[in-house]
Amino acid sequence: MNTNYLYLIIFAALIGETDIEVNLSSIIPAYNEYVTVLLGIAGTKAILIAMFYQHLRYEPKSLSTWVIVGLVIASLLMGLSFVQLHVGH
Amino acid sequence: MAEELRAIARRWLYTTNHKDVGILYLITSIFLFAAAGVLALTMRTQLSVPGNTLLTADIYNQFVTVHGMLMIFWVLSPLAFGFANFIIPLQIGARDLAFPATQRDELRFFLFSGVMMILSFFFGAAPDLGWTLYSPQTASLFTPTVGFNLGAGALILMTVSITMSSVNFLVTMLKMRAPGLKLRYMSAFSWAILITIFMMLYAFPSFLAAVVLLYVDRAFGTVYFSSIQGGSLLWDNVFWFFGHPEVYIVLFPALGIIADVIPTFARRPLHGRKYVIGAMVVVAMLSFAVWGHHMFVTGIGIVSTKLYTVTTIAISLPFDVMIISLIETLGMSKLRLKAPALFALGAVANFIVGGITGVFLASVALDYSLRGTYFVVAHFHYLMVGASIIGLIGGLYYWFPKITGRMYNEKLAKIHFVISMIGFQILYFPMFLLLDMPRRVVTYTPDTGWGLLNLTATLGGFIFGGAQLLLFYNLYRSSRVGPPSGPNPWEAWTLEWALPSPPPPHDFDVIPTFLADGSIRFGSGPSLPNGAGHSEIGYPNGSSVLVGSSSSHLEGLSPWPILMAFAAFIFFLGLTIGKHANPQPVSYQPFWPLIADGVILGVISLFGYSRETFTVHEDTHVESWPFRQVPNMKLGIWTFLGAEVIFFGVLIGSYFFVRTNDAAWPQAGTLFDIRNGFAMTLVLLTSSLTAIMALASARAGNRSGLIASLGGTLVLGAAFLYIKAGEWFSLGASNVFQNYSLPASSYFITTGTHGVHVFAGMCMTVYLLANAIKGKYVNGDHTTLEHFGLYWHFVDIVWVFLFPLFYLI
Repeated sequence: MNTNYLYLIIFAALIGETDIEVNLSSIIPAYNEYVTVLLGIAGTKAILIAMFYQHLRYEPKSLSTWVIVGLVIASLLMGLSFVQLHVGH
Repeated sequence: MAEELRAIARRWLYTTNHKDVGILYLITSIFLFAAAGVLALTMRTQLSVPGNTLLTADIYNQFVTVHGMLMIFWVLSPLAFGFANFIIPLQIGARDLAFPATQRDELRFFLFSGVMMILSFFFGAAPDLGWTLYSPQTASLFTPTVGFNLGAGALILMTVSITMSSVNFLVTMLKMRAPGLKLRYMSAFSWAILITIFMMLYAFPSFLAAVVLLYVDRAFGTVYFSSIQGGSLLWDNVFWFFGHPEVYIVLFPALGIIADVIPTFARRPLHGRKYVIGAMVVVAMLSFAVWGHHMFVTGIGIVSTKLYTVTTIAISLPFDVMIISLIETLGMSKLRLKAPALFALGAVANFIVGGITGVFLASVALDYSLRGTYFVVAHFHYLMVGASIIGLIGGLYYWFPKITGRMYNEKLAKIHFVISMIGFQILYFPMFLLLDMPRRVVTYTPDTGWGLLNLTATLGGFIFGGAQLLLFYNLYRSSRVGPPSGPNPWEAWTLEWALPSPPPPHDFDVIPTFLADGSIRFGSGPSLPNGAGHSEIGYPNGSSVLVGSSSSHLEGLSPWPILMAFAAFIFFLGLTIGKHANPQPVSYQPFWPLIADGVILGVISLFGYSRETFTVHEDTHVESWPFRQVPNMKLGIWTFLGAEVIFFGVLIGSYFFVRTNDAAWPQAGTLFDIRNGFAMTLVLLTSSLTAIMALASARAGNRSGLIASLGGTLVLGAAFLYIKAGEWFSLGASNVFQNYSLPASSYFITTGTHGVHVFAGMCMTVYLLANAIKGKYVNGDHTTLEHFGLYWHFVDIVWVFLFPLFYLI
């Protein structure tokens, strides 16, 4: 596929997902589920940008792993802080 | 003569050579070591007798804080990285660091950040809350001095310098090792630095985010750390997530030096070498999961308490492996008791005491009674001074002949060691017995019974401090008149000793090759045995294969880094030293003339950078697993983005922290207009499309398409900021802070930081656009565009999360 078309398809997907995000509260009224799905959509948008616009899909696996390590550590910080706030009190 | 002096000045002011930069780091940190030491001795004098009035409580608190900060941030790490700058490229067979142009910036930012920290004494008062800067005492309400802001600015500059440095070293060590030098064959010191840098890369962005939050709280009146929902617990989390790895960050380089020095002087390879390296890796990973043991008394919950007790005890086990390996290395050896070996052994002994007393503090019951007492001060200083500083001094003696080409006075060095060790024990051991004396108290009454132990400690302090004068004298004198050392006075095995002392400016005439049998070959010359690897011991004498010198220290000089760092210094000075505008909550008024000067100087230096041609040749026949197919610059940018992930991760984590802790958070759409968020999202996503189309146009050789796409990216970036500015002004006019202080704080800080990133991206776009108009990037030279795109898309990804977080939930 011509890469320019691919970029346009990704762009269309990103815009479509943003549209879904804005209207999601009317589809999923339960707050916890709504937030979970909303952040899930944001995650898929981030993955699309990283994979295709930042070309991570075409880079060696070592580089993808490099990026994931950063994400894991950031998640660890948020996760453990969350445990401190909400568990075991 | 004048010309010669000018050349010397130019070399040391403008240098980009990694060895020169290393020497400057070493000298600067030694001076700051002396300054922080004077503060410590003054404090010890104050505490030597009960009821002493030498220092007021205010001054004492400032001395405590600045002493701690200088020692940790401006002495221990820079001293270690002075060695790293000088030695690492030599040990791994690289001609320089991956980004020589960046390392000069790191040094200057570090230098000016240190100046700014010391200057804080002269603007009201320096930071005075201890190096941990516990919240909410840091709020303007409790600490209204301008000097505190200056200290926060200094910390921001310092962390920027350290982040650049981390990226530089990581790319160098992962991508520029001499052919055949696999990661597992690197020396213990190189491994220690590599692991330290990993920790720095992930720990310091957390600290940067914490200090930015603190700084904005103080300077602009946000309430992250003065609110009940955030406050002390949020600060504890973000600070100690950085703070505990920082302990290992300052300890590991010394351990690496010890693990290089002891085998050299014991004439035996490091026993269980791979286990020592494995243990360091395990410590590095666990170091990010132990921070909660600093928070046992904060009410973090029983589950967290148990979790952190287990991880804290677990982290002591890999250290046992390291110590046992070092002791095993000494077993049955014919140890040569030269000064580096003595200091290494002394550091190990102190480390055992400091380490074991640290395990006590993993026990919740003991921590409840011992925390905040002089027992902790003793434990901490046995590690920071006893292990780290003593180990680093061992490194000074060890590499002094390599750096200067001259030998130090061995007899004086041994006297220095004996007095230092005696002084150290007299200074710190009594503090273990002062386990009922609170730390950071300015004085005490005679009936406490602490007088004798404090007097003893003070006596030890002066013995220890006085001993360091011998070190300074020895190094200064020997660097001028010491006998020539020759290339390898220790008969050591790592690669730097195969070079002349001091090494030539370009390091290697021929990049060496590490052969499968553990020997080293220079070009077509004879192979030399290598003890750093996996083979038998040998004694390299490689100086004869290095001939001639094709470059000099005066190559690659640039005035822009020092100007850029000075601009940043002026800018922060302007942001921090303004007079009181309102009493509370915003205590400071920017001093606009200084800020404008900083911006102008910054723009001038950026313009100078853009006109500089600084070409770094990327060798292809080097050892670069696991990133063989990734160019240096691309790896550097991804590594930098990794640090940015942590930075924004902490900002977003802090948002979650206060939000989940606040039952009265306004519903989506009530505070921030969803239409604005949606519009900004569309604009930024479109700018990502134009950015990627710019790259596609450049690859296709389509100049007009490139210019149009870059122009589109610039316009869309400006449109994003325009909408954002409109929203900011509108919210500001609606008194949002009065009604929703915490949601407003998190919104302004997080989106403001993101906006600064967008603006930086736009500046890059202007530069790229100017070059594209001149015809660049369409002839196969489009990598710069690709690198810009990585950054711009990252900024887009951050917004992808900020949009739902602030506008939709």
